[in-house]
Amino acid sequence: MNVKLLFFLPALATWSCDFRPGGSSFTEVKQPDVRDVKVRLSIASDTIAIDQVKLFTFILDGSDIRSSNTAVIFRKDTLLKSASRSADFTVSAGTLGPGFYPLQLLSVFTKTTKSLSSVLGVESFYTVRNYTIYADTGPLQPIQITGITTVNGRPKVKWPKYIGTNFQNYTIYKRCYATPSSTSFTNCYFISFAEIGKTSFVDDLYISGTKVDYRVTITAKDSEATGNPVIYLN
Amino acid sequence: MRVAILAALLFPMISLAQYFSGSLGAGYGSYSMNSLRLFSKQIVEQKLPGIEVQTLHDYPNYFYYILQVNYTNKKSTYGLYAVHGSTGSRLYHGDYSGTYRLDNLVSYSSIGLHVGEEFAKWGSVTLSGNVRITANFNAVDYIERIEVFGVAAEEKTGFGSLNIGIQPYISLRKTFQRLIASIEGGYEYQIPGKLFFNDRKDIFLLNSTGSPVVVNGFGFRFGAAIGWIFNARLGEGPAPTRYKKSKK
Repeated sequence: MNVKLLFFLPALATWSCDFRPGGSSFTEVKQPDVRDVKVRLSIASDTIAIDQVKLFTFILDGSDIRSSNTAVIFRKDTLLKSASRSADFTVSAGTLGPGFYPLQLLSVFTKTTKSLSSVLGVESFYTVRNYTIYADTGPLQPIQITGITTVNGRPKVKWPKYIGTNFQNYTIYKRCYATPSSTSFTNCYFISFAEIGKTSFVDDLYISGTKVDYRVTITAKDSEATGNPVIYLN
Repeated sequence: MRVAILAALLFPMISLAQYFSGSLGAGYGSYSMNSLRLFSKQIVEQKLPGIEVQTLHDYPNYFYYILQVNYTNKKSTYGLYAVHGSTGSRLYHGDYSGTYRLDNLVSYSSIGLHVGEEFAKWGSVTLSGNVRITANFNAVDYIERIEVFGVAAEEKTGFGSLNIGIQPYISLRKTFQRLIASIEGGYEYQIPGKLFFNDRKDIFLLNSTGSPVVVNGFGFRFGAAIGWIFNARLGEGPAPTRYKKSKK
């Protein structure tokens, strides 16, 4: 009888001996390279002056982008959210005081890879680009000379780049004094530059030992503003 | 003895050439499972398109266990039996971002009847041809686990089905006193039934082509068993030769 009972012991163990799959395997999947993904504006400059309303276009560049969502944040307001790789938006300076304001482009994107997280859509990356918007809503401000250096015995006048809107030209006015101690002068020379990126001028006509001063006048928005004179004597 | 009495009540035509025996054994079975195999792949293809998934287990041959009670009348054997077996699969993907695995656990518990006829006999060794008619109650579990960047989720879904099977097989048996040792080999054909959700008996599985998903459990069966003759005192005829001699 005891022997018979022994037959049932394996039966009790039967249901605990079911097949159970095990093991794991690692598949070589390269992580996506996201260094080529950049978001930018269609304008090359990092600082952009506006005086009223300006239309911008953002562009998300990069390879193998499967999906993206780009937000345009001006000051702390979200101007736009777009799932497109490129879209237009406008920035209005009408209610802003003159000054600098941050504009940020933030793109969250996924890349097409064969990784698990990519296919499940839970692997995302982001890229950010910051711009500065200059609200040129006030009157034209004069440009001050930042320094005069001597290059080969000639004065080199330097000034900052105009960052406002509707640039027309820079004019450098030169006044000549009779003697180094004299306070009386005559307007002896001026020259204009229509390139906004021109920010220095070497006076080849300067006569060594004479006293002169220079001023920069900015012409923009159909008005003029002149900075303070800076004396040079070498 | 109780079993013998019970058997005697069930089979009132018992003669001296009849006896009852019980046996317990284990075997090794193969399983087709082509429907579940296809369905598992379809699950992964739909959920993770483009992912390279590896098949770590593909419904391998695996052990089954058998318990049977036989009534032997001269050269014929009739019996009741119960079988439990299992197999399964694992589809797996792992990369830098996480792992995915789909385990399919298939187990079945079968009950059935069998009949056999002795072909040849050499002393206490007999060779028989047999047929089993089975009712296979299948239990199918899908266990899906996803872990991405350290966050894991697991879901288990259970299904069940009933297959009707027929299993022709050959057995070789040797008796030692009351003890019976046997080996057998055969092939099981099945008529598979639809796989129903465990908690929704009115909903069954369809694959992406619209065909019902079934447990194709047909395959080869090879087993061995140890048995015991319960009422050998009544036996003559096909009862073990050596046992009969010892009683005389």
